[in-house]
Formats: sequence, structure tokens, C-alpha cells
Amino acid sequence: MRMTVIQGSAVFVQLTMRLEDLRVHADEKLRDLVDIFVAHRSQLCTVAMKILGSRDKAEDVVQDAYLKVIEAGEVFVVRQPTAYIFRIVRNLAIDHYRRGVLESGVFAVAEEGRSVPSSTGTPEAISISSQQLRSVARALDQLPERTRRAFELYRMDGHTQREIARMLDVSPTLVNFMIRDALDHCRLALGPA
Amino acid sequence: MTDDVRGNAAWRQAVDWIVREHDESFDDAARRALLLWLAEAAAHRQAYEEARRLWLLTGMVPTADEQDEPPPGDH
Repeated sequence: MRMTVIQGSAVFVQLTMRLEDLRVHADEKLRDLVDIFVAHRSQLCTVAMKILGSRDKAEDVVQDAYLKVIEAGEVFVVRQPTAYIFRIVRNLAIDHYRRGVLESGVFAVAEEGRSVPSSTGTPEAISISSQQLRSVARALDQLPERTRRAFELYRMDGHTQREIARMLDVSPTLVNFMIRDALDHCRLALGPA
Repeated sequence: MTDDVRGNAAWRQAVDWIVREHDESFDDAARRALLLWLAEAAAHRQAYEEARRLWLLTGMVPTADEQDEPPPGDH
């Protein structure tokens, strides 16, 4: 299905002229993404398995990452797609792992008789749309330069808030504020959940 | 109005948890406190899920350095 779309638009672009170059560019990138998944499948599984401790769960996460990266490929042109894909797999594995811990923990808390939360069952993969990605990307673009930098250093580059404070020469309190500010701004851009 | 205020409070706390979870110093005691907070109210769980979704979404946006600008038009 996807390949049909790619071939179809490639033919279309050949017939049209330069204005469609952008479109070809995007489709080539999309094919690159698929190729990278195929070429690195076992390494990607290994990355996820180190976090999750289970081959089955790791494969689920890689599959989920595949769908999400294809969605992202509709929106972004990523300069280093391999590194990007590895990061997405790691992010999703971490999310999955945390949710697993929380789910088992919620039951433990309930058993102590403190309260009985309605369980959400096993952690579910969160579905995302290219529209949501576009909204969030636009929201991040609208942030003041320093706020965006602080957020990226924390979210994508894995620095601690204290490190970021040193790097940007601001107080840790301000770093924390900027990270929250970035998320608040994205939430507004996304609209009601 | 009151619901709104309460919702915003839950959102602020949820963001706090999501951000703290990302920190290396998030330990078992913190996780336990998070669990208790989640168990307190449906509004907490809802806000937490929303923050979790947003966190995943932001993690999928390539950094400014990673993203290619759309190719400029030929001159």
C-alpha cells in the first residue's frame, strides 16, 4: 500500500516539474526510513530488549516504532534517520517499561487496601497522528530559542536539569520552568485531548 | 470553573511527574509516590496519560539540528 503511494507520486512528479521536487525528496526519505528498519531490525530489537528484558515485548515496540516513524516521515525530513530511529525505539521502550512498572505497582498499592484505582490494563501503545506531530513541532518552533534549547537538551539529549543550567548559565529553577513551559505550550497547540 | 482549576492543578502535577520520571534520580520511593498520586483520583490518571502522550510526541520531533530545512527554491 505504502509502496504504491510512493511509486504513484514518483511517477506524478516525473510528469510535473520543479515545484514537485520537494515531494520526491520527502518520498525518498520515507523509503530510506523503511530500509533502515529492515537493515537494522535485529539491533533495534536488541536496544529495546536491553530496556524491556523480553524479546517479545522488544519486537512489539520495534513494530510500534515502525508505524510511528512512518507517520513522522510524513512530517519531517530527518538528517540522520538511523540515529533518529534508534532514539524513537529507545523512547518507546522506556515508555513501555515505565508503564509496565506502574501497572504492576498500581495493583500492589490496591492490594494494600489504600485505594482501588481502576486499572487501565496492560500498557497500551499510544497512537499518534502526523497531524499531532505537526502541531507539536510547530509549537516547539514557536518557543523562545533558549526555552527550546533547554527542552531539547533535556528531552532528546538526555542531560540533567542541573547540567542544562550550567550549559545555559541560568538557574536550575529556570530550566525546570522552561521545560514545563515547553510542554504547556505544546499542550495548547494540540488542543483538547 | 472549579473543575477547570482542579484540572489545571492535576495537569501541572502530571507534567511534574513526567519530567521527574525522565530524570536519572527517579528512584523506587519516587515511583511509589507517583503510584499513590495516580491512585488518588481519576483526574490524576487522565492528566498523567495526557502528559505521557505529549512527552512521546515531543520525543518524536527531530531536534532543530537534526531537521533539514525544506530545500530552498532554485534561483
